[in-house]
Amino acid sequence: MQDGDETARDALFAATYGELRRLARSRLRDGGRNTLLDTTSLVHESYLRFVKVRQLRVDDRRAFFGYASRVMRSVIVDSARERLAECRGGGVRPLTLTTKLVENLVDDEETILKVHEALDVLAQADARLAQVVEMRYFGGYTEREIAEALEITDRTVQRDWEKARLILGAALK
Amino acid sequence: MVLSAAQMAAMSRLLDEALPLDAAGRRRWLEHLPPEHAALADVLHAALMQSGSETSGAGQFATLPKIGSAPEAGAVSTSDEIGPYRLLGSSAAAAWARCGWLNAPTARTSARSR
Repeated sequence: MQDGDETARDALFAATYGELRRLARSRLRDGGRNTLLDTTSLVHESYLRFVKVRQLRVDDRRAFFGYASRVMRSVIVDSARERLAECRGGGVRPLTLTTKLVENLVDDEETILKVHEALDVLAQADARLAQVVEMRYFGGYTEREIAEALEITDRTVQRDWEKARLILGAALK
Repeated sequence: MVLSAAQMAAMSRLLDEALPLDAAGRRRWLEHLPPEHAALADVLHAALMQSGSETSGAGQFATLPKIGSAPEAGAVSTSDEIGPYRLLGSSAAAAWARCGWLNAPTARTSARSR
């Protein structure tokens, strides 16, 4: 997608941005019961809600799914950064820990941030590969949903997904 | 290994060539890798060995890790030391959902300061 197209698309969906972020953040902070954000359900529910109140049209679905995966990524990355800051003291004097407890707690957040950073580099190398990862990893979409949103075949999504994971795996070693 | 955007682009093109091959074909393909891609030989070899695996390598990004997840059962046990505290027992309501409790003197825990 060209930069101009992407800007136009973002403007089209700008009205949904705040609501998407608010919903995602509220689910991440529901008292720890749902720490794994179910992004797919959230995007589907949000889409239907926006259509109902006529903020979106039914035929915006494909493009909205691509846009929503970027919003989910930003919420997840922000949350991971906040938790890492909390775990590293958050301004409170640090304790000397004698167990691996905190190390284990921060591993997942660090993985998310490393994937996020490597994905930025991958986007410069191959924008579609990066978008497939964003939609699969951060958006949680199925291969079929990604194929539909990007207007490519399921087989192409499968190949892109395997290739992107191998490249990211090499970059994160 | 830190990969630049140019190296990722090259790796993408090279994987397009190698992934459709069978194991023997991949080995031959690696042996005849052009010298300009020599710096990527090791990562390509590792990637091709991992291709198709769901338990390692490519499988590692299959799902997004849980955010703010609690430690696995058994991650800590009584008598473990955490900073100036020693765990004395478990509590169903222990505030494991956030690691910040370690620094919060008012948090409800089953720990006693040494």
